[in-house]
Amino acid sequence: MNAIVKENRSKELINAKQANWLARLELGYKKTQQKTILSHRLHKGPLVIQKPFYPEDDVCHSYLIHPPGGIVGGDILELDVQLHPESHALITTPAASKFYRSDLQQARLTQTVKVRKNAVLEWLPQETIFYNNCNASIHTEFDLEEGAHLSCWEINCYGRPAGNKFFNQGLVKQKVAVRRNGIPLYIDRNIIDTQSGILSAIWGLNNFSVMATMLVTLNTQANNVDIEAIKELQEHSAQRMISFTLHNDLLLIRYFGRHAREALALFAQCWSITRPQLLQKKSCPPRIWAT
Amino acid sequence: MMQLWRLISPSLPVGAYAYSQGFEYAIDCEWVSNDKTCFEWISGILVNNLAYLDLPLVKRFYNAWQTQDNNAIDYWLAYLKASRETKELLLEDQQVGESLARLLASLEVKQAVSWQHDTRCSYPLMFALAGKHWSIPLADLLLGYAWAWSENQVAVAMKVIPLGQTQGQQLIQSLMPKMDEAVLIATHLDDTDLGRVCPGQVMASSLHEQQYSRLFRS
Repeated sequence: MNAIVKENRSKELINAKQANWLARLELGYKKTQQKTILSHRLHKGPLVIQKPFYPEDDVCHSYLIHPPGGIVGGDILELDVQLHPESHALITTPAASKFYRSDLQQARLTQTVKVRKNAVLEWLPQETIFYNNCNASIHTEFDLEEGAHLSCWEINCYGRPAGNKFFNQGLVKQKVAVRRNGIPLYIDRNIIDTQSGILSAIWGLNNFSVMATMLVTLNTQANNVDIEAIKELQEHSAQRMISFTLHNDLLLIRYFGRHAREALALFAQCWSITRPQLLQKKSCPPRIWAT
Repeated sequence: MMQLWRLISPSLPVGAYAYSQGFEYAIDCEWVSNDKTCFEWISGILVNNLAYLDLPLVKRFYNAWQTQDNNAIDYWLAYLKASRETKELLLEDQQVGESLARLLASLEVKQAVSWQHDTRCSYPLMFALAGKHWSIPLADLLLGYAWAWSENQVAVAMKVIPLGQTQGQQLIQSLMPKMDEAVLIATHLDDTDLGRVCPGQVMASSLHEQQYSRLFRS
């Protein structure tokens, strides 16, 4: 009950104040004879995409750049991506995304992604860091059409324990939904509300400060993936926990740990197993990950 | 009232006793080892997960069965399945749902017949159908669901840790206010606030799939 009252109260507070500014970025990818091109780009505010480049001929690699000063309460960011049929794009970020302290106002990021027939999207951002006292909402929707492929991950860091900056207070609401032809395949709603005790509870994060999830659509190709090689990566130790499961034609790999780089390395390794088997392409890690 | 008792009776079960929803792994890896940590695990999942998914979906299915709204059933069913986080949790929902569908069909609940062999079948869906068919008031039905789930988790603890009968009774007593709390949250929940992940349970359920020696199917 407390949770409901609290949620309603914070909704009112948000509605009472005007947003600081709005950033919006629209991207469209189209397949041409030789390669996928960025055919549409419209931006308002400090959410931008760098000029695409082509380290592997046909696949369009893009770096998405979040506001350099981080995201604070009252900011509203909207990202709208569309992959036209048969196109193939890889999107990553050149640095961590940061949600800073925001007293009462919520910082909101909404990502709407459409992957049309037989298109391929590899959505492989670096980590998101939630600072103490932040109030963030991230809503991501992937709409897939027939034959479309999605490989994606999110790496969430709550506080920065390495610098003794713990996440003691704050609220992070994250929802990821994946649909195929309008039907939900995967809905994941994480509410990191420090008051519920989720960060330390045994049913919660068990004091791990980094939680990350990788998702790969298998369509009917589950048999093509070397699950055994991924199984071998499973671990349960004081440093990290890694698990995998198959769910509704999706491969899900989950990580609890303390280091975003470690999660990124793990997912890159899984990707190097799944990519050749599902997309007949060698993995081609963006160079920016190594810097 | 007796219709509800028969629906949640552990002596006339539909098979939920064979599943632990990751609890067996949590005990195996020593996250849970006594009555105190048992309470933390069960009450945490009850208030932070069941209250936001199973219970509000029982409510939505109950309303859909009452108004014979098949579109709503299809929509919420897909929503529920997409929200189950692991293969074992998905399978459990389907298998226990099908077994309740078979029971209801044998008791001449006509709407259950076609669900007996439908892979989309789900336990909250059939539970809501039974509630609607036997005219169990929604508030009682939700509390019954929370009770049956909690009792089943306590039974897992008694078997695996193990705990004695008295400790089991004490545990269920301490969970009673949490059951009320979960039902209260579920009753007033908007569609936009549905679903909450308990990451520890998800990790445990996922790792349970590979657990070497186990008594439970989830």
